[in-house]
Amino acid sequence: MRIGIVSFAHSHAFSYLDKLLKNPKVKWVGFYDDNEDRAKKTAEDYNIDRFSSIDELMEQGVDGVIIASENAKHKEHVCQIAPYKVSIICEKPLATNVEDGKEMVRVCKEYGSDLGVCYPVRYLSSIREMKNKIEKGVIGEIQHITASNHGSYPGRWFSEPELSGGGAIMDHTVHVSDIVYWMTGARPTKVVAMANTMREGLKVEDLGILNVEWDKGFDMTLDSSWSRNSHFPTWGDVKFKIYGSKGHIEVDSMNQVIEIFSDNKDKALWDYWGDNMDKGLIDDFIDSIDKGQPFAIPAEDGLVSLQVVEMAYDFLKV
Amino acid sequence: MKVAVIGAGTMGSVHLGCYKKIEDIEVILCEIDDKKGKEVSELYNINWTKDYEEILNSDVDFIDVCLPTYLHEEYVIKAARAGKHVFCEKPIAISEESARNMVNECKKNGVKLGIGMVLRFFPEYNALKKRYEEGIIGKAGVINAFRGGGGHPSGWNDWYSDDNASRSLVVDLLIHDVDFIQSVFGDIEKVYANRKNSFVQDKKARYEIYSTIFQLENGIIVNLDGSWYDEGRFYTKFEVAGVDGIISINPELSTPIKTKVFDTESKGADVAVPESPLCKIPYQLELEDFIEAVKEDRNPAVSVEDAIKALKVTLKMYQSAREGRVLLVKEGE
Repeated sequence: MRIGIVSFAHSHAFSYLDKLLKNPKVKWVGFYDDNEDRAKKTAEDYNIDRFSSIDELMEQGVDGVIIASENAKHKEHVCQIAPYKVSIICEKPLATNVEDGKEMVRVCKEYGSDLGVCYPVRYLSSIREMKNKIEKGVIGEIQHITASNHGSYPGRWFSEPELSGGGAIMDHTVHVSDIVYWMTGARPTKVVAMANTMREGLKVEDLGILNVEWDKGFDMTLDSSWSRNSHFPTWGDVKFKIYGSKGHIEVDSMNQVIEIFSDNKDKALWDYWGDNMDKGLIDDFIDSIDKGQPFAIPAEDGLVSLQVVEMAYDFLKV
Repeated sequence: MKVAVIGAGTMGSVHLGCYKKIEDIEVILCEIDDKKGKEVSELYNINWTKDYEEILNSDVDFIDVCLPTYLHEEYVIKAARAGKHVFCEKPIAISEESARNMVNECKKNGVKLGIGMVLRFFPEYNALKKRYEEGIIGKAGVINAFRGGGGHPSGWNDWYSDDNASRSLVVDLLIHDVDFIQSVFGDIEKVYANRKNSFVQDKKARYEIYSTIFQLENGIIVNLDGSWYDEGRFYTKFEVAGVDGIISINPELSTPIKTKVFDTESKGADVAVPESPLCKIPYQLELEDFIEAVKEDRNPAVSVEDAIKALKVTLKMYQSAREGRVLLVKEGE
């Protein structure tokens, strides 16, 4: 199987590449990156073929493509690849607004390319077990969810609104929202958001808290802040506390770690040993191509979580 | 000094336990329920009466009101008129007007009024405040806090479930965190609250949950949740993130002792009981502060104005949950 990667702007792409290279079904990986320095370094570091345009990459005969460019470039890149009739997965958020996302879905349908979205959190075993318990009705009907997707400050283009489309709310609302949609089928009906910028001179919000009403009788409070400092023992978290009519479930999905306190490192470290979510996602993508099936997370699912983001920014504009 | 504790409910009992440990304090109980009055007075080996008038006419130096919130105004005002200093459980009252009446009457009669905003005496919260004020995490940006997990309280005549008596969980419970946040981080500008509850007969399955989000005038955003929802234990969490780091009160790092007895009667999955023992529990510290304030003729550590300020915010949260919209704290002023 031959896989193309478009851009390493989103650093998840390096993890995806690593999983591709370890997947026995993948025979070849080539890439295009519009950042010259990064492209040169990536080609050398990983010893993979580099191309100077998307078309040149696609002409090599590619079965699947991973798009990990800056959020605002997703639409252009997806629409350029769609005519090649391949399987595409696009880094989250699918686009910077719902309208663009819908257009991407339409174009891919038109050309017969399968478009999926990268939501690796769906591949965490604790998250799957939570979904399983909710579906079995272990805690009854969901009443309320309080969740967090805290992260470190990513810097670079993430804080340039013309490339990112927004700050912490754009970056960190979609994972949790996607899990809620995946788990319950609920869609957002109302969003109240509060945002703050604590880092000096930032053009986007680095902190955001939302309350979302879903159409299945529950609401959710979500903290999507880039609030983990550089000496925090890990990068961040994806946490859920779900209150049901018969009891509650609490999931701290990254809480499978060993603790390290070392004089050779300048901080305490939570070293994660749980299932690797990127491996789950990439292996599933490769399997779907192998079987000629659509990818498990269709782009339409990405539109629901993107809608939460859009509603949050709409609320903040008022 | 002599003190009369009014009400032998949860807080009344806690206060009685504290007074027994404070030197030179003589305590008497006033409780209208025969069974409770007898039981609790025997437990602490103290005198008790059903008659509040008797207390007002006695030689007690101050009165400690541990009654449901909606009764605070009546009992505090009677105490003030009898010339007694008053310590009153939080929240100060069920409305700002009611609170002002209490404050004015105490002023008029020259007696002190202390409010049981006990969180200010919790060592872990004071440790966080101290470290934050030292500048260890720089400018704060976002706060996550939680209080609850201990199930739904019953109380006298089930007053907690009656919004007219308690103004709900947000006013009764989350007022602690609201007051703490305002005292350390600044005044709250706008609030939004979501409330979920069930009023089923089965006490174990009964619950109330509040999820609030709010923003301070200086921009800090906060998610504060609270619950009367059975998670097997009551606990609190508080985390503040700033530009240079994070300070967190983690319940897993706050309970040095855990006890579990074999569940031989197989009542189900009982859990170990975690405890955080201290030489003086925060309730004793707040009562000692009030006693000293009376003796030294100074103000108690937490002012009534702070207690009213916190009440106003939580009442806005209560209103926000009913109206489903963001409210400005100063709206309508």
